[in-house]
Amino acid sequence: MTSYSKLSYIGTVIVMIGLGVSILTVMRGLSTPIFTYRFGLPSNYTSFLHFPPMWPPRNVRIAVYLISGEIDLLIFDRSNYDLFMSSGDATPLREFKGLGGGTFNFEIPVRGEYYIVVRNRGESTVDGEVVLTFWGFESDLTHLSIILLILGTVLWIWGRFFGRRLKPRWLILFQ
Amino acid sequence: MVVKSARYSSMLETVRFELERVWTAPYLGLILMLFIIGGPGSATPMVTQESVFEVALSTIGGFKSLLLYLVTILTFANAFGRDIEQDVLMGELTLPLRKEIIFAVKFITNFSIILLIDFASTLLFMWIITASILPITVLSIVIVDALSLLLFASITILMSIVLKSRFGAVIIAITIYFLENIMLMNVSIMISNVNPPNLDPMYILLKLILCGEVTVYTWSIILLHFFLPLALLSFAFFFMKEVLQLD
Repeated sequence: MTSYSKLSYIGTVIVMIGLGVSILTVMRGLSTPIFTYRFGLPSNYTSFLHFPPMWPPRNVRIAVYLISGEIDLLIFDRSNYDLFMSSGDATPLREFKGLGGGTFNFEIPVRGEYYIVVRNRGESTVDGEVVLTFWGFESDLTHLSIILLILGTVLWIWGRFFGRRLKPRWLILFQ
Repeated sequence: MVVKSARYSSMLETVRFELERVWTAPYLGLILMLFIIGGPGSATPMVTQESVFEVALSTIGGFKSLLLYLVTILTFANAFGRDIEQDVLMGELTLPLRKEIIFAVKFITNFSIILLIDFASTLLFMWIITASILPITVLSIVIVDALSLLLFASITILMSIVLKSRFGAVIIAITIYFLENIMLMNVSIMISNVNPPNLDPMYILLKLILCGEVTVYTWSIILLHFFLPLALLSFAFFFMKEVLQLD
């Protein structure tokens, strides 16, 4: 194999890996897992909601249904969650204060562990449920597939069409 | 010194020959693509947080294992069967190398590429489903896969050489794969109707490597998937050397 055909070889393989990752991204993106958690929060009480903690970087629709009262809803990543549990003072990724219900979206930044904490600052018990719906394509896989497709195509084209032209014609005389 | 360098260059020549002839870009790309699509990453929409063993267990079995077996069988049928069918092995054996070295280089080159593909795809799945990369777990899975695949690789090589036919070798290796599965399933049901043990070789080997668990079935699986393949490979080599008389 010459170095140019090596380039198109690597390019072809990378393009096909990119296609594989693209199909995987679509397959994973088509599923929309839904998780529901019901709770009853006594007054001045903070609780962690037991959702699966490992989240892919997709969008998550958080629907809060409350029978009465208001809650604060905080979303933490792993390090801040540990800090919050140990000292009670940490910076959440997102904080919704005085929620009486409603639906909102949260874009998960990176693949990893996330925790939802609810807090009742009122005087009476708050009953309700939180429904998480994960939707959309995973951002890291989408980026990876685009990068692989572009890189593979560039390498393939370079090896196939442009590589040979860069070689000076007079060099052939010495081969 | 000159003899040594000639030997190394001949070995490299054999490796290069295998890469060009068996591992063409569309073949390698297609296998990688199928591994990525067919792996556990497509079946688990959420990231999971489980024990190392459970995570490792999710990456063996299913479509990926079947694909791994098929790729191994096809690759070795192409590497040995096609060379014998088309009399290419005669040319390879004219290299200034001992026949056993050519045989070993051909086997190791193809087997290590399959394991490299397995390693890369397992690494990707591991990252997708756990958001972290655990190199020791990935290595354990690859070792388990290697031990499981050795039997089918050796059967394919032996049949390619004995039958001098790729098609025959592939059919026999696939038949043995399904027969082994059916046999193990029947044996497990015979052992216990209520709670049949999992006799899947990959499961037993994974338990041995990750948990150090040795059961009564472990030795028979090691015998079947490690010592029997070595015996079959030795037989295949002697058959190639003595009966085919390719020199």
